[in-house]
Amino acid sequence: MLVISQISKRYGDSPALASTDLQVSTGETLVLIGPSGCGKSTLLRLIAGLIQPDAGSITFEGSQLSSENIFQIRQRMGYVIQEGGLFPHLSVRDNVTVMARYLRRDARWIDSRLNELTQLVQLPAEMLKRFPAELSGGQRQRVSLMRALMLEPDLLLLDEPLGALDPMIRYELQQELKAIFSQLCKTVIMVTHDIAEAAFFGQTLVLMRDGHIIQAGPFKELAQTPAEPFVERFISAQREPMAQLIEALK
Amino acid sequence: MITKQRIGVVLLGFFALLISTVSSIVAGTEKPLSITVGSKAFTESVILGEMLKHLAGQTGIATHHQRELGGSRVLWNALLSGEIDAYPEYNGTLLQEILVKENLKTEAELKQALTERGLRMTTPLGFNNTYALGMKAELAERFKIHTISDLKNHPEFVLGFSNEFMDRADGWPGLQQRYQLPQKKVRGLDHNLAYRGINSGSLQAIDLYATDAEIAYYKLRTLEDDLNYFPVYNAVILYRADLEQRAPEVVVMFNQLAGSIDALTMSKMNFQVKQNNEPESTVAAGFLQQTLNMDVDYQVQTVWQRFVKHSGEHLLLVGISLSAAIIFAVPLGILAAHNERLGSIVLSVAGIVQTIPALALFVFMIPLLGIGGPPAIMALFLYSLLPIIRNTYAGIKDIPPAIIESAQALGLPSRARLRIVELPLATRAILAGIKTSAVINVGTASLSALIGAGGYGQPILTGIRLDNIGLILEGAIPAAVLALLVQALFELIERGLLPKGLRIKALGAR
Repeated sequence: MLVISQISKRYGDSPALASTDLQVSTGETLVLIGPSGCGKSTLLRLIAGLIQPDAGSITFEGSQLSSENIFQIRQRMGYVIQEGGLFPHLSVRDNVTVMARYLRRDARWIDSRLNELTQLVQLPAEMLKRFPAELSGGQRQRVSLMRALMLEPDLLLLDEPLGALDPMIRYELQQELKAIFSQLCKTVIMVTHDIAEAAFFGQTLVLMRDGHIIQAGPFKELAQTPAEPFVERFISAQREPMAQLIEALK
Repeated sequence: MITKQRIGVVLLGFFALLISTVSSIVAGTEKPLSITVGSKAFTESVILGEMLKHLAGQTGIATHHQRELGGSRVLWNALLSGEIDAYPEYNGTLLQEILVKENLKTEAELKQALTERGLRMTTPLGFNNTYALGMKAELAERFKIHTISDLKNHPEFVLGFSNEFMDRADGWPGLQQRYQLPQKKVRGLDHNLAYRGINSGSLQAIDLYATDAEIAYYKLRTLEDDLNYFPVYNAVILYRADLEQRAPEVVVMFNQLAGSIDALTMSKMNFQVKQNNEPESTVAAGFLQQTLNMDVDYQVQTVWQRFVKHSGEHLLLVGISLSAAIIFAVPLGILAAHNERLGSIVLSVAGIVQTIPALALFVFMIPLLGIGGPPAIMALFLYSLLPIIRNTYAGIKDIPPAIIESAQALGLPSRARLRIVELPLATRAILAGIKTSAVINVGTASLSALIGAGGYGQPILTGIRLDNIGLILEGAIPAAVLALLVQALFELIERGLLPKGLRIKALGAR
């Protein structure tokens, strides 16, 4: 459903993304992972059309992204960022329904869709009246997810959606998020720097460094047949502390 | 959303009403026949201006007096452009200051120069308001002193001169040379102290203007300038030549003043206004009654009537200029926030306007828009732009990038983004800018009186001229109260307009 070919992006003199190819098929959950500054967020923002590539093209469901069709295509993509990006002056209900109301969707449709989503993300109904400032971090991310799903997008883009949450809530939300993904059967592209999270969500992991894709495949493949020493180092850097922890508990 | 749109519609309607009111007022000035006289910002000129008003009023033509318009140059330009029809002037000022480049020598040359500009002047009114030397009348009588030359016989006299007169080449140094004055004890001191000194006997002669109010008060004699040292400043009425066609009867009335006011009479009238706090209107009417046996029907405004008039003028100045500033500055600020290059140009131009001293900005407007309301409104408008532009710009720029990005990612086009996300989030900053502008505007509007636009500046200006604290407060207190009221009004508007979600955040932050 998504074909990225030879796309590249520079910020001034520093290349953020070298010429990159990537394909995502319908229903796949793909995780972009790598150290900070590796270009994973740049790649996601290019897909969402928030920044324009210097070269290359992105084709979404057969149509190439351009400034003419970007507003239409964005309605078919849901986008969630780290802090949620909720509009502080709008209530939860208004945040979630803002785009549907802008498109003048039927009010009854909006209400029933809102109802579905409230149940899906398990947000108490009384929260709908509240403003973002009155919500906890976890609740804000649930609302942000509702907003991204409101127009029933074909593709869901998540940029470190759980990055700002404390570990307990993060764990809880990881479980829920995975359940939601499997329930929705949507194509998902998620950015994270946490290998465990990536392995937990992703059918396909795309490991990046310095604007290049180093290796792409299931976690098992990355762990067992690393393409480069870097892949092994990256995985073990996050696995070692955990192993030591388990050792200490024995 | 709906209520906010409704507020917008109401505001728009309000502006439209304001603009139509203004245009009808402006159009209203083109009335069939009315006479406007002007006066400079000092007592003598205002008294003479009131006389002109009374005289023209005798013919039954509607007459208006633009009091205390400013200096000679402002009045001269207003007369040339036809904003006023007549004002009291001194021939010395014309020769030495306004037309100095023409190097005119004679009365005939001056008249010729005025005719070329479509102006006329009456024959002198009778007094010469130039520098003079004055002594206690009693002392002068004792020593039989009538002229400056007579002082040569009294080298023991102590003379006290204002600092300006001491220093100017055409002041004391020149005077001493011309008359060969022998006095050695010559002191430079403040003019008011000089009057006290001469009253107490520690000074025997001082410099003064020939019609100073104090001449009558301290019973002084002005010494005749028998060697014609001081330039002549004969008072005349300057008027537009076309007045002779438009209202010949008014010109006849003006000419009745010729030769009818001597220096002592003028000094006494100045005294009545300055020391006795009599209204200029009353003093001028009294003179016309006594000298020309003319019954003048005039009204002196009560404090309350003045307050209502000044409040109306001030509110109109502030209301129109501020509304216009909001209409222009908010879109400019939005444009600046969305276009970096345009933004830096807009902000620096508005910044440059703000660095022009307010007084200078008002004066700059005179050649463009004349005197009165329109130039004052224009100056206030320009002065109100920057705070609103800058706050609108900053309000939009300060929105976290994550929020803008979310709005983009949702698929909201830029105009919808502006309406739904950016403007509501910048509301607080924009309103703060408008509030700042409003308070500056109310304060600066007091300067409008300097160019004939009235308002609370009028009593302040008169109060400064007459050294009358009461009058100054009559303008200063309402101006301060108005500034506070305007601030309170905008706080109320903020409460109504600020999105609820943002108010919650403000509470949480406390």
